[in-house]
Order: sequence, then C-alpha cells, then structure tokens
Amino acid sequence: MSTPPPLPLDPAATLAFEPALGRLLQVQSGIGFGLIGAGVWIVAIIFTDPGWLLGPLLLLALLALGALVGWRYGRLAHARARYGVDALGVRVCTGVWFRSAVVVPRDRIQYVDLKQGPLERWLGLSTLCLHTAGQLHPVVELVGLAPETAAALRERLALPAPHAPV
Amino acid sequence: MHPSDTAEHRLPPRAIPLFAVHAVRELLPILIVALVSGRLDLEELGFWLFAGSAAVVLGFLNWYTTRFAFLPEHVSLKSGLLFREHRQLPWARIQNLSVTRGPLHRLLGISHLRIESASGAGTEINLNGMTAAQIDDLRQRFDALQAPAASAAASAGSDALPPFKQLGTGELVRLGLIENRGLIVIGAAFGVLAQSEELFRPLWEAIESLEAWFPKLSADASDPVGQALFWGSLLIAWLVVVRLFSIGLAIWTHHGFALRIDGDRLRVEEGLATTRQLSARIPRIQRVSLRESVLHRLAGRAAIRIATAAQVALNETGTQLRDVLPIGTPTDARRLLPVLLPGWDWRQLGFERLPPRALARAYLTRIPLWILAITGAGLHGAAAAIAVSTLGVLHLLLLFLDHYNARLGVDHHGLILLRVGLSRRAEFLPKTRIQARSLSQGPLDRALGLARIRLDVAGGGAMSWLTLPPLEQERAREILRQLELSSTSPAPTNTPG
Repeated sequence: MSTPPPLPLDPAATLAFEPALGRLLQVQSGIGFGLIGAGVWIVAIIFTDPGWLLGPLLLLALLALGALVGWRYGRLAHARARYGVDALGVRVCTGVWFRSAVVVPRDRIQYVDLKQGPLERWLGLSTLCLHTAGQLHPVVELVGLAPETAAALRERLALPAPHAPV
Repeated sequence: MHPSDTAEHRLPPRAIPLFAVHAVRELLPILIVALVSGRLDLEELGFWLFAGSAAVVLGFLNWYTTRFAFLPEHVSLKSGLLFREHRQLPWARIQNLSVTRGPLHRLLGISHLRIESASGAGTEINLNGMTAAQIDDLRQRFDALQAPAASAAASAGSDALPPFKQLGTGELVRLGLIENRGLIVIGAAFGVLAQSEELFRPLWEAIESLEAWFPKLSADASDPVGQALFWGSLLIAWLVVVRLFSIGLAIWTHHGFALRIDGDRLRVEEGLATTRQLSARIPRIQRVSLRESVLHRLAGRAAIRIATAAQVALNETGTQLRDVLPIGTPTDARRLLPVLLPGWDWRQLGFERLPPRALARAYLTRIPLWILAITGAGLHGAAAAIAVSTLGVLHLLLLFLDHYNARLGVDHHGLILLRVGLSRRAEFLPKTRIQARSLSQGPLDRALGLARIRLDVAGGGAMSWLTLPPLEQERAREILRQLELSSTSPAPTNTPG
C-alpha cells in the first residue's frame, strides 16, 4: 500500500493500532470473505450443474478469491482504524465502507475493562473496553492495543472523573 | 424512626401476608412437579393445606431475613435465607424512588418501594411492604442529601404542594381516544385467553357464529351495498372496541394523575387499582420529548415524556416516571418545558434546516425501490401499477415535507431536533446527559459528503438514543465538537498519550 490512507472521520483520532491488529483483521476477514465465497458456490450449484470437475474447481477459486479480498480488506481496515485519547475523552474511528467515529467523554466512562482472547494473546494484543451508561454503545471497545498501552490507558481512564454522576 | 437512626429494621409484620403471596410464586415449580408426579392431587384437601402452609412458612422466613438500614453513606439491604445477599447502594447513586400500592397493599396499609440506580439490571433495591412512616423517613434523608436547599420545602410534605397539573376523567377519556393503546390490551387479553382452552372456547364459538354470516353474504354477491354495510359496521365496531379499551387503559393507569414540582424533584401520583407515586430529579432527566400527533392537534393537546437513567426491567414497566404530561394543552407544555430543562432558553436558538443533499440521499435510496415495486405491480395490470405509483408519489411527498420542516438547534446547553410532518415532535437533549457520540458514514454518504450523528443517552428504553438525519460532513463534525466542549468543566488537564 503506497497511497496514504484518507483522513479518519474524526481528525483528532491520530494514533494507529498495533501492526498485529492488521494480521488479526486479515485472518478474520479472510475467513469471513472465504465463507461468503462458499455461500456463492452453494447458490451456484443449486441453480446450475457445473459438473464433477468444474464444481470443486469453482469452489476453490471462490474460496481463494474470498480469502484474497478479505486479506486486502483486513489490511485496509487496520490502516483506516485510528484512536485518540485527549483531555475530552477517547475517540475510535473504524470502518472501510461504512465508517464510524465514536467519542466517549471521560466523565461518561463508568468503568474500564481489559480483555484478551486466545488469538489476541497469541498475537500479543489486548482489548480495552470502556463501559458507559448509554444503551446504543454501552461498551466501546478498542481492539488491537499492545498490552502495556492498554494497561496504561486503563490506569489513566480509571482515575475519578472531575464531577457529575449519570 | 429518628433521622439519625442507623439501626437495622424489618418491614412491618403486616407485610407477612404479602410475602406469603409472593412465596406461592417460588413454590410453583415444586407444586407443579408434585402434581405431575402424582404425589399430590388438586382435589385433595392435603394439597391445599401443604401449599398454603409452605407459602406461609416461606413468606415468614423471607420477611424475617429481609432487613434494611439507612446508613450515613448508603442504603443497606440484607435478604435471603440460603443464599444471602447484602446490597449497599450509595445515596449519590440513587436515581429515583418509586412507590406503588396494589389492592392488597392498600388493605394492609403498606407500599412497595423501589429504589432505582442507573444500573442496567432494573430496580436496585426492592422493599415490598414499607409503611408510610418508613418511606417518609427515607424520602426526607434522600432529599436532605440530594439538595440541601430544597429540603426545607420537601419536608413540608409533598401533598401540601399545589399540583402543577391534574387530569380529570374527561381529560383521560380524551387521552384514551388520542393514544391508541387499546390494541395492546386486546392483544394481552388474547394472550391470556389462548393459555386456556376453556376460556378460549366461547371466543371460538362467537367467531364461528360470525362465520355463519359469511355464506349468506358471499351467496349474495349481487348486493354490494349490503356487503359494504356489513364490513363497514364490522370495522366501526372494531374501532369502537379498541378505543373503549384505550380509554379504559388510560383511566386504569392515570386515574387521579397529579404532577407536583417539589424543589428539583418531579412527583407524580396516579393509578386506579394500583396507585403509584413516582418521582424523578430534574437534573437527572436525560431526554425530554414533546409530541403532538394529528389527533393531539385536532383535540388541541400535546404530551411530554422524559427519560431517566434508571433502566427498566421488562417486568417492571410502569414503576418509573416517564409520562410527566400524558396529555395537556400546549400552554401546559410551554409551562412545563422550562421546568424540565432549567436555564435553557431555546427561543434564542438559531434553528437550521437540513442540507438539500440529505433529501437527495433519501430519494436515491427510495426511488429505485418504488420503481421496482411499480414494475412488479405492472405485471398484474395497469390499475395496480397506478395504485402503487400513487402510493410512491405520496411517500416521496411526505419525505420531502419531513425534510423541509425538520429543524436542528445546537447551543451550549444541548441539542434540539424538531420533526414536523403530519405529527409534530420535539426532542430535547441536554448536552451534559449525552453519553457516547458517534459519527457514521456509508459509501453513499461519502459520495454526497454527508455524515450521520448518533447520540447515546442513558436509560429510557426506546428513548435511549437519538439518530440525527444526515448532515453535511463538516457541519456534523462541528456539531459534535460543540457538544463536546465544556462537557467536562473544568476540563481535566491530562496530556494526550
């Protein structure tokens, strides 16, 4: 990827996630798009009869295409994901086709969690979960931080908010 | 109880029958198993003796193990016999107190008190069977801790305050006619009837006898006037029944409605069989919405609803103050809004229109669907195509009106969204109550330079978040920034990492 990624939806979110997140997203979306390829193949063999040779070949081709698109999509998703922590709060920008930028003000954070799945542990990643009292985004997750960054952020954000309960 | 009293208390012994009734619910699985396994028989006296005494013993034990105390920092509740639970709710975390009294409560002279926090799990502390004196004591301590200035007025007793708004039966009938909630009652009644075949049978018989009419009608197809009369009167009868149920429901829930403003606290009393005393603190209101549907406007009325942060569990609807003005004149609404949103003068606010591109976006997504629908209808004949196109044109026209009349106002107090179509709606979101905010953009939005803002609010069920119509990307960013600034005042001075 030589072209720089376009500006995130929220220009104040400037920090990139760990490169290992790129691998995680590539694996995840590779599998996801591969499954879509398999779905297309199932629809194709329901409506047509490609024969015993062409059928499996078609499946392989579709799986490979899905995995390839997913691989690229995962890379884009990582390149476009940005976060930022400032005096106001935490910002997270994600998305390739459908983009979103979430801001969680500091005094709206109820508590902060850290979590790590097996795949994340293997890649050396950590997820920071910000819990708010809201209903649409009761948990805002920052997936793909280095464990030490996540722990440091948690300590910083867990400091008591200046004022105002819910 | 003396205000400095921090000792543990039990609910009054009068509450034991109530606990026994509730124990029946806990015993139900055991009784059902006993019945199914044939150990007990419904016809036998032994069954009733066993069930009754078990309920009384269990109720007594539940009552005996429930102890509460009003400590300086928190309310403490201990309960449970085998699985003991000790709950401590800090005073500062309490959102509302709500008091309900069912017929049995009134017979025993007690009330069901619910203490709500902002937790997602519903009511934090349930004290079913408090005496009026115990509740008054709790209220006074709560008010004294929450707003020392307002406590003088509060201690005079809320009943002494003149009501801000009361609703008579005539007004409730009007409410029932406007808010079409009768269908909910009918649906619930069907649900209950469907549980039992015996209860359902008369209904089936009625439906069957009605079906006996149909052959006559279908045989007499040459009499379109008679058919129209039959179907017309059936429709009118249905509408009348639904409206009657609506009126009944309005009277059932809001009978004797009185709204009082007590310092910074709203208090509502209402209910026919179960009377409820609901309250909410004005600084903790998360969102206010003013509604004027077509029927409201025909009757010259409006309604105001609020969202508080306490989240309602499914089985606890109606224990929370939501409808602060179930129905009232526009003057009432104009009088109440400044009370609910103190210090916010939105009359000075410059309201903006939505960008024309937002309408283009709506049309770009809707028109292809309508073309598809019209083509599909065209396969069934020209008449169908014309009918569907008329619908499509009407829909697009309504979209245009909705877009043309929508207004958005943002200032340092918060955000107001006005939607004026056939029915009118105004949403007020105080800035300090907004939780997470997000900006989202799909491929079509990006092509048109639009973005959509979503504002998350605590609690309130369906009122919990507000999605704004698409705005120009730069303007959307600016609004988000405006809503951020001084959201934390004074801003913490941490260096960005």
